[in-house]
Amino acid sequence: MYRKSYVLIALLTLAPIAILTAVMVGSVSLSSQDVFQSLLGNQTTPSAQIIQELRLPRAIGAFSCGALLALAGVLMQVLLRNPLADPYVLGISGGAAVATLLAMLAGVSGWWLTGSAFAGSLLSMFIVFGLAQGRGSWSPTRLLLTGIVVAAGWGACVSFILALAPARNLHSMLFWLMGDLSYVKTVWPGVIVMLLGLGMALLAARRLNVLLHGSQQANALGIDVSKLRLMIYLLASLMTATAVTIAGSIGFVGLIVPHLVRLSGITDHRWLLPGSALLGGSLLVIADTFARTVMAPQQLPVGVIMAMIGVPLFLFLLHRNNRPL
Amino acid sequence: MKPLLSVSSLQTSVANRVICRDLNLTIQRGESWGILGVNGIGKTTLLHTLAGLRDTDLGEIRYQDIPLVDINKLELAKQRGILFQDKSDPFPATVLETVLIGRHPYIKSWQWESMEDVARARRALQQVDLAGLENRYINTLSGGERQRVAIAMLIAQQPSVYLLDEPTNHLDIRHQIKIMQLFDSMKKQDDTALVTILHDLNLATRFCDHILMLFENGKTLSGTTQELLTTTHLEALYGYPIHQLNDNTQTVFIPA
Repeated sequence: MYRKSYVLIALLTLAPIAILTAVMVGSVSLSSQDVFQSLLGNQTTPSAQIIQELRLPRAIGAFSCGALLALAGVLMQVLLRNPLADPYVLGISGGAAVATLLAMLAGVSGWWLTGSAFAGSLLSMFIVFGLAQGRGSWSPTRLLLTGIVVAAGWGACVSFILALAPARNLHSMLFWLMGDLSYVKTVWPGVIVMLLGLGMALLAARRLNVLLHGSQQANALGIDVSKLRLMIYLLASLMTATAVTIAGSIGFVGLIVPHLVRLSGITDHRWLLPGSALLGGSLLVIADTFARTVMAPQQLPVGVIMAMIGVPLFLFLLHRNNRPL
Repeated sequence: MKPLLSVSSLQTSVANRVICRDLNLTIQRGESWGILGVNGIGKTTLLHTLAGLRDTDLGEIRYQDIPLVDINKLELAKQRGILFQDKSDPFPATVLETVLIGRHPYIKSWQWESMEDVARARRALQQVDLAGLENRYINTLSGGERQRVAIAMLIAQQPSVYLLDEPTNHLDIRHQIKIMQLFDSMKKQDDTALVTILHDLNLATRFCDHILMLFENGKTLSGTTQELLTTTHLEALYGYPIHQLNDNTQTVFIPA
């Protein structure tokens, strides 16, 4: 019990520090005093403008995006009862990618790009769900296989589009595919979906603990398993779709963050869900801060930096830890 | 008194193969039933059907005289508990967390486990000889310890009817007897009933007062242990010669 509280308190502290650092660091470096003044008073100084219009929205966008992916990762892993599952395993990001790249080819921008990403992920979600249902009931294995095959199909479409796309489009397409937060325009959709999603997942958290022991066991303990699974699938898919819409397909957060929190000794979903949301959000804020400062003024795709931080961190903790995964 | 579990004209099948046809059973408080039969005859399928986890073809199952189909799922989870044969643990969880899962039907969806739930889970762990292992991860346990965690989870669930699928799997001889004695004493103290799938005829002789035998083509035979546990019936059931040895204290069956 104490251990869980310590971990959660540490993560609760990490989140504001990550966001504050992200707001202070950049081409114009600002002091924490500037930050607090611009947050409290409605100042119109250049530094306040940088904070209010550029850095804070981007940091909050990054946080909500990372939290959404981590939450979706936890849910997908329970749904499929597979530690290798991540938010993209069922092809949602693939559908979004194809739709967005086609929109880029068509030359649209702004809200049209965002809209097509969201439409693409919803389309993929319904295709996978409809096909997995087949003529009988759907099992986690059936859903996983359908999702992986659909994802492979989307992957082929992406390669096809990239191969034929004119050179002037390629750069922005590749950036989108690797995950890029510079598209963040408004933070509210991400924040709202994150809070609602976390709330709904928390309401089901004890049932998730039971479902982890298998659908038969959950059934025997009085849980309506098919209803719960449908709820998890829809919730995880919508959170993934929102994250992909905000920032393209940022890999890795959704896979490793749930495992990192489990490695710290939290296995109960009532703690695992908020813990993963906090860690996923903070990690993506940190990665994005690196992405825009390391080679400034050149911006790097945040997905790449995320993997560069995440891979060694995860391997180190896994190696050092003798906890069973 | 209302029987805890009653079955009338039950027919159930798996993959177009009939497991039982026109099965009638009345299981009272304090009774211990053993289900015997060869591999693949459908013992587990029947047990899952009794638990309400599978649909029936014909007939009716009632718990305390209420049709199973009319009982709400959470309420049913307080009436009957089932020990499954296979367990898989793809993710880590501690022993105590796992046993507390058994309290699920008693906790409202917005509530957390109470101190009493935790105390009950700890007591269940003591009863299966696992006190002190509360914080171990279940995927670091041996097969026998994992089996006893599952039994503790079932005890924490406090059902009236225990449906047990080979409860002595993976257990050493001492724990086989201890666990069977534990269920036996709970049956007497708490007025519950046991329905146990067993392969060990000597455990069945010792701990069951009623027997249900499953044969090919959905034929069944039920009765008291005294009537049914004879070499004639057992040889017909298993298709293998069986010897009966008697000494002053107990009867022992051995394969010839």
